[in-house]
Parts: sequence; structure tokens; C-alpha cells
Amino acid sequence: MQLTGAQALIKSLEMEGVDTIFGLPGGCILPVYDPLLDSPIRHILVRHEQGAGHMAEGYAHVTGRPGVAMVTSGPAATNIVTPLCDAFMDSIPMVVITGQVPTGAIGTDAFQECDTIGITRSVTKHNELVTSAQDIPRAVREAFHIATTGRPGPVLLDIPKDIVDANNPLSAMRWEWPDDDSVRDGLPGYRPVTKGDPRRIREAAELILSSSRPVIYAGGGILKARAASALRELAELCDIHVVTTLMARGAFPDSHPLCLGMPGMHGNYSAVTSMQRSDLLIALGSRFDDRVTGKVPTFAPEAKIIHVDIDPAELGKVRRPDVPITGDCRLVIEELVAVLRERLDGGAEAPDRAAWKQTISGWREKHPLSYRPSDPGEALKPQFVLEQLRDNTPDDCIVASGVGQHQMWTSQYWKFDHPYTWVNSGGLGTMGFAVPAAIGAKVGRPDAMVWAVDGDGCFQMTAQELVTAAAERIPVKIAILNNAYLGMVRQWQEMFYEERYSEVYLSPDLPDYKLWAEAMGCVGMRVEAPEEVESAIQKANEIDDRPVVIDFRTDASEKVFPMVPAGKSNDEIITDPALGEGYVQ
Amino acid sequence: MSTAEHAPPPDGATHAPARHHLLAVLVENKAGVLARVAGLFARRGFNILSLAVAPTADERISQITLEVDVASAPLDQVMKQLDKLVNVLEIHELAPGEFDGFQDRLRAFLESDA
Repeated sequence: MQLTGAQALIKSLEMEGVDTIFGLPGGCILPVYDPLLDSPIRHILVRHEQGAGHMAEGYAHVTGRPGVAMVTSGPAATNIVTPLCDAFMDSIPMVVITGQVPTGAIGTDAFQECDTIGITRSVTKHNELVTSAQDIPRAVREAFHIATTGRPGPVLLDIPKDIVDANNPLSAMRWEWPDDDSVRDGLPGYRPVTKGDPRRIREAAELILSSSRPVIYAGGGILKARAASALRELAELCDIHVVTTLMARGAFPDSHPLCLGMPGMHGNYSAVTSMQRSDLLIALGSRFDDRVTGKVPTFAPEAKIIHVDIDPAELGKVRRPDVPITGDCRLVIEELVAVLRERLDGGAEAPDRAAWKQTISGWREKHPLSYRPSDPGEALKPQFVLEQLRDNTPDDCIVASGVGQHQMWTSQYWKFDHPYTWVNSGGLGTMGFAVPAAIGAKVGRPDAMVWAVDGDGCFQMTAQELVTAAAERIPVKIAILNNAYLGMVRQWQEMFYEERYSEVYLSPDLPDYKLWAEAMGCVGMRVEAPEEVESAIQKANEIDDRPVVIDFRTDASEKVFPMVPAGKSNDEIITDPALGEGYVQ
Repeated sequence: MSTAEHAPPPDGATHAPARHHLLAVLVENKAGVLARVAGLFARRGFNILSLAVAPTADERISQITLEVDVASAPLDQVMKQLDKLVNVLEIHELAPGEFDGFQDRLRAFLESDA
């Protein structure tokens, strides 16, 4: 079958099972947008290419399938660099297609030319400039294979215009869809290891059986490996507490008695301190990020380490493991559970951990998350808004967030009982992530309710995508915690810069978020009093034909606690210094 | 095609200090592979002391020979990060004997080129 490169590209995406492309056309990618008209693939026309990338990420977060974005060359390609880097840091499977100037014009500083491959090399798992139409199906298959296997990540294909332009003879190709073997043969240097070394797994089992104060340190790799139920089996079999990192919220139910919640810089006291005092950390798909470890030399000083990760470069990168296991988390945990079960059935016994469990319970009772409720007439407490949102949305509601204080409060105060319900930017910390990511999540899971919790600073970075959502009838709901500040920066300036506030004030009224929302085709609301919060949320929940934006006016002086100051040891965790009478749990 | 950059050991000694290791990296002979390897070193803060690229008997495969300074990062981490590059096929650490030979060959090459 003779096709043009453009037809082959769209057909290849169909063959990969793509149902949605987030994108925006332009000069060099224009030829590909023509056969798209005849394809069953849904295209979501974004208002900025960064939005396309974050939507693809949100889609991938909640479905586990690779998100796909397609944009043109030059400025469009540079606009999607941030989502690529975000997806790379958080191991999100994504395939991005960029247009490129015709092959003959590459290197001539042509209009809208940039070195997309060079620019994105360090923020993609792999990228490729496709130089002939005949190569397109192979390049697409390899891109999806690389994006979704091993440690997932973004892959970019740069497609010069001449190889897709129906008017150019260079775009002629003979359609052939590569089989699995030829994909494998085409990538001789790419062989991710998924099965753990059985000897190491037995060593891990023995360490678990001999430890008195074990903690499971579950990371985002649990979700990538679809290992949530395997994790639960392991935790319950050995009766071991679990901390879920920012990227792993929902991987283990918050309502489970063994769940200690989020560790790290703004983690729960019990999660942070149990890791500090543990004698064995079972790190599963986590990477000893600096926000989790605090000062590395003082992190969990007495703990032996079992470290399971599909990326061998993570083993020993930050902390030397006693038992390193390269492999897929689900496969390794299942093997580990089998070995442990065999040992336990054979009469093996773990040391008595009653005292340790009691100690953890003590920490939980003594240091719960807490805040002081607002007095009448005071601004809303952001934590109160989050509790109301949590309690007035379904159990499996998907929540996305931007980056900053509101993100930490959402992670802290939400109750994550289901995997794939939390969409956030962990590694890169991309402000403006929430709105487009929530839109992508809703496209991927139209059956689920999707809320975004955003800050006023974040919202202003990507709010224009609500035009996309309104036009495409994607009914996401946005809660802006509007404290009129770049809140996390303000918090640092208050705590570490002697309250010298430098360039952090944003104004609560400029822009007028309600009017802005309405101008973008959304329902806009403003809430200032605690008694209005619940009814506003319920009203938003009932709207299903357009996006909703609620401007919650929150207290600018509220800070995120607990907190481990940057560069300090986790032993120096600060719970709220004003903690005292009148606090609620 | 063969290119080389060479930074002599600071003390002018024939034998490089032990913190220098020599890696033979077999890569797919594709456009941009050298940039991927060099870019990875720059991005991760690994130091390259010398580097040479040469074809192998198999035209689909090139060899990049790298002298790395492990003061900047543990050798294990350098090798694992390199191995993650899709176009990297194999990495071998060359023994000190092979290292001497490499230095000599490299010097001879540089002199003949000059």
C-alpha cells in the first residue's frame, strides 16, 4: 500500500492504539493535520503547546497509557520542552511529535527552525530526527516501545516537512508495520531488565525477616509498574508500615492502618521519623530524592537498604543499598512475597515488633497534621478548603495540583485510597501544571470526577487552557487557593529571610478570577466565608457541561507544616511552632 | 573517521592517577550519538579527560574510548548512566595495560596529525 508520510504517521498512531492527540498545528506539521481529518483519533486543540504536553502527561498519569502531543517546529517545540522535562523527571510515558523544516533546509536557520533534537536530548528518554518517510512506522513503534517499557519516559520524534508533504515525492512510502522482532532488532542497545535476581530477592527476604524496625518506602515506580496490590500484599504479609512519596500517593491506601502517608520535606512527622529510626528501609520504585532524604549523610542512619528499581542507575546513586535489585516492581514484589510466604510457612519468624509499632502509634498521636481554624471574619484556611473538597467529592475523585503550598496541603489533607487518582509535578516542580494536567486526566478518564487544586500564581501560568476545556466540553473543576502570594516563596522569606518579602505579592483581585473564568466559558465562583465552601463545591460537582473555577480567598499567613528546612537533617523536622490549644486534627 | 581531544595529566606523568579510568563504549553508528554521550557527561557533571571515536570492523558500530575522572562521580554511576542511552550497546572498562597502550596510540595519533 502506497501512503504519504503524513498518512503513515497517523496510521502508525492508530496502530499504537492512540485515541487522543493534544496538539496545535503550524507550518511544518501542517501536512500531518490533513489526514488527521479522516482519522478516528480525537484531536484536542490547545491554546499553548505547553498545555498540550501537560495534558498528555495528565492523560498518561491516570490511564497508564502514553500521552501523545503533536506540535510544529521552532517555538512550538521549545514551548513543549517544559512538559518533556517534567515527564522525564516523573517517568511519565509520553510521545511528542514535532514538525521540522524540510530536510534540505535543516541547518540553514530557516523560518521556525530550531535544533529540536539537540534542545530536547537531555529531557527525553530518547529522541529521533526521522529522515525518510519509509522510516516513520518503525520510528513510531520504537518511540512507543521506549516510552512505555523499562523506566517510562518521554520520547520525541522530529518530523521534517518534506517527508510528510503529499506534494513532495520524498513523502512517498510503502506501508509496512514492523513486527515485535524487528522492533527488538532495531534497538540492540535497549534491553530493560524486568525480572529481579532470585538470589538478591532471597537476601531481601532474609533482611526483612531479621529486621525489627522495617519501613516500606514506596515511590512512583509502584504506580508505573501497576504494583499497588502487590505492595499491599507485601505490607500485610509482613505487617510493615508504608510511607508513600509525593509520586506514590494512592499507591497504598491512606485509610489503611499501616499507611504513614507522605515522607519528606513536608511529610507527616510519623512518616519522616519512622524512616529516620528504622533499621531497614525497603525502597520500592523510589529514588532517594533530596526532598525525601533531607541531608543525605544523616538520613535513616541505622537503616539497611533494600532498593528495588527498574533503572539500575538509581541503585547506589544517592545511598548505597545493602541489597540492590534491578527489576520491575510488581514482578520483584510478587517474587519477594512468594519467598517470604515460603519462609513464614516453614516456621520463620520476624523479631517481635510490638514496641516499634507502639512507638509509631505514639508519634502519630502526638504529631498529627494540624492547623488552627479561622476565627469569624478571617480569611479561609487552605487546609479547611481541602478538607471540605476531600469530604464532598467521591472516593475515587481524581485530583491534580500545581506546585507550591497548595500542592503540599493537597497531598497532606486529601485521602488517597485509590491508585492513579493523584496527578502532580513532583521532580521538576512545574508551576502551571494543574489546569492542563487535569484536562488531560479528564480526557483519559471521562467517567471520573476531576478536580484541580491550584494556587493563584500557578493558575496564571496556564489558565488559558480552560478555553480549550470549555470549547471541547471537558468539565474539569478548578479550586484556586487564592492567597494573593507566591505562597511557598513567601513562606521561605518569612522563615529564612527575616520576613523580607521580595517580589511575592500578587493581589487577590488582579486578575478577577471569577470574571476571567466566565470569559473563558467556565462557571466562575468566589468563596470567602467558611460556611459557603461546601455549597460551592456541591454546586460545582453538579455542573457537567463546562469547566468550573472557584476562587477561594485563603489566609496568606498560613504556612505548610511539618517542614524539614532545606539542607537540614530529617531529625530537625519542625512541626507548627505555634502548635498548642485550639488546634484540630 | 577518527577525532580526538586530549588533556595530558597535570603532572605530565606517563601513567594517569588511579582515579582515571578508561572506558570502551560500543555505540550504534548513528547521527548524534557522540553528542548524546558528551551531553550526558556535561549534564551529569562527569569529567572527560580524553575521548576518541573510531569505526569498528562492523560498520554499524563505532567505539568511543573515554578517559573519565571518577573524582566527579563514581565509575559505577557513570557506566550505568551511559548504559541507559538507547544507542549505547556495550561498555567495558579497559585494564591499566590497555590504558597505557591507548595513551601511546593517542599521542602518536596527535603527533602524526600535527
